[in-house]
Amino acid sequence: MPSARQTGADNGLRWSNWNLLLLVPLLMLVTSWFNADGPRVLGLPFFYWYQFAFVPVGVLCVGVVFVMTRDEPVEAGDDLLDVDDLDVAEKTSTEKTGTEKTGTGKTGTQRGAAQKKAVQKKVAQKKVAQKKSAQRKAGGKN
Amino acid sequence: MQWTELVVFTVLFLVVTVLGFVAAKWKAGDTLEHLDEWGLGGRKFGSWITWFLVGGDLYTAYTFVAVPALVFGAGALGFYALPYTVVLYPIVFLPLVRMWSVSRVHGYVTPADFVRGRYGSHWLALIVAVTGIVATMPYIALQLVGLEAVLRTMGLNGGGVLGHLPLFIAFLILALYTYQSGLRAPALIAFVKDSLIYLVIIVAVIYLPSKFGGWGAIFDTAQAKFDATESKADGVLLTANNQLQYATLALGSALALFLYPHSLTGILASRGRKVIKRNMVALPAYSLLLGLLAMLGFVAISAGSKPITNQATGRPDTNTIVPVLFGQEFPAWFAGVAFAAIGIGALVPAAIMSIAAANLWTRNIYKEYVKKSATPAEEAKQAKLASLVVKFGAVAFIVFVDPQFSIDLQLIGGVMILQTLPAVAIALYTRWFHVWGLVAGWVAGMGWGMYLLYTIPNPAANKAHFGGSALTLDKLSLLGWHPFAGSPTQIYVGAVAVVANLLVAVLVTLVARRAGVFNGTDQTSAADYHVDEDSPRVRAIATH
Repeated sequence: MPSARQTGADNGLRWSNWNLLLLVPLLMLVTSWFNADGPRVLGLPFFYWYQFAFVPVGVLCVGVVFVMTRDEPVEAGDDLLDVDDLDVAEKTSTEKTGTEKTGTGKTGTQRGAAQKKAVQKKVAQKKVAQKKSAQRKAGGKN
Repeated sequence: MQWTELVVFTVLFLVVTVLGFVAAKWKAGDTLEHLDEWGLGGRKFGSWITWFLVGGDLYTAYTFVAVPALVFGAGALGFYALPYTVVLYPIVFLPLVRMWSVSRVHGYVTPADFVRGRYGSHWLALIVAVTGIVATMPYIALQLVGLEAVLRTMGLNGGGVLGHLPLFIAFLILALYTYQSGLRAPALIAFVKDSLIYLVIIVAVIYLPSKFGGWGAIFDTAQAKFDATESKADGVLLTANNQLQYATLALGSALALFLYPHSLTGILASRGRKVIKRNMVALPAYSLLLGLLAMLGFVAISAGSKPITNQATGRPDTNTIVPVLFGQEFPAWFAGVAFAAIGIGALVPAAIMSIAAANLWTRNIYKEYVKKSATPAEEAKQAKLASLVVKFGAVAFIVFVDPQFSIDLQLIGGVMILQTLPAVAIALYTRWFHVWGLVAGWVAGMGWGMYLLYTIPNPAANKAHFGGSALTLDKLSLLGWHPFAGSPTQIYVGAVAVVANLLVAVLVTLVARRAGVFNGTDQTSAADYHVDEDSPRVRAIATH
């Protein structure tokens, strides 16, 4: 019974166009552009100083992506797990141990998973709110 | 015997030994008898500690001696280490924070733990765990090669098994404090190691070129030397045939690096997503260092450095070239500091690697197959013991087997670990691949990769097999079919193998989906991959 989650249809990817900057450093793999001796800088052949120059380029690209995607929605802050959720989790947990065939043999993780599912509903609500605020902040990033 | 060097080296070695034992108390949690604490340092390292720890972990002693040695021997090709460590961070920037978050929510300690949770398959997890252990073991052995290169340069170059005694003592001490302090020991020592390395390389790069008429003259001398050799593949520039090899080796190594369990250990030990992201921006400082260090291989040519003959094997060991250069050109006391930097540089990664391998053994083999009911304290005990076994296995490897064998194995290890890319890295983003597709892809990539490595000769070293990772496309054989017959272009074997891996994984996935085969249960949810440190959903540390 593959649900949307199991088929990977909803894999929770959060994309920002700034991420495309991460592809820029890969340009240094095109060796034919720089496999030359001249012009030399400080005695270093072009081949060497060109590649050294890519170190700051790489830092800059990753740094810009880091700063510009800083406001990406993450699960943080407020306690989403209140007492009611715990009770729901407890109930689903008992149902699950009986029916679901997980084959893990770890009751701890099963309980954790069940508890998590119960919380997810809450998280989903929260996510919508977060998304809205993120969109306001980033000016239609998504 | 070079006494001044030896004294400086010993003093610095003793300092880090004390640090290693004291580390057990550093930022201590309630208990050390838990893998979160022993194996991941309490999962609370901040930006600076992570920078030193991961830097000390990725840029190993072996890298510091082998990369210049490769440049010394082959020229431009050895410089692949720079593009490798520059493209690395943009590639892993996004996947690593996902891995951190999901591991933090579910308490995963190893990459195989994640695969276990993602696919609910202990077989796939076993494959990932075994690949990780097998690929890491020779890597640990190679740290010993780096350490021994320094010890032999200082005159501790005895023959036979007794000649390995200094190495054995150094590793015994390392094994003891790793056993006691876990990941905190290398984390604390990394501060000393990296500071020394920065000091030595910066001094070397400023001071040495002026002694040999500047970089221009150094490169001209190197080119003259390469022109005089028989080989067509060497030179201060790449040739028409090895450019593809250069690019694919850099890219393949970058894709592989964070699949190694020890690299991930440093990441999982950090406190939060911001710490990791900041480090992805700051770690390239080490890449700059590595690039500068690589060029010391050319300086060694100008200085006329000769590799020392290893008394235990009777062959010249090119890995001694940088220690020899330092010993030749630096005053004795500073050479001692330089040797200590490399020697301590071997201890940090060796400790982290043995911890990572021990974690894999404990979580994904011992707890899965030997003792399912193991408590956290029993897991920690098991991992501590395993870290001892792993380290002494590595020493035995160097002492009783030709060190060349571990170099070959490390080469193979890189190709092997790359085959876990679909199961570990791609699975962070999607469960599209079917669990059996991943297994089949691994088998195909592994089998073909090993076969191709086997077919590569190295005439210079007089070897018929496992002579390197550069495959001539002409020799690329798929069950006797040569699709690129006649092409002299070379490519990195790992790249070829991982493409085969992905193709097979896609095909088997399509078939398995069509047939409706059960694809395991996913313990993780989409939101898990975005959880940060202050979320209530992260697991309490060292309690479960």
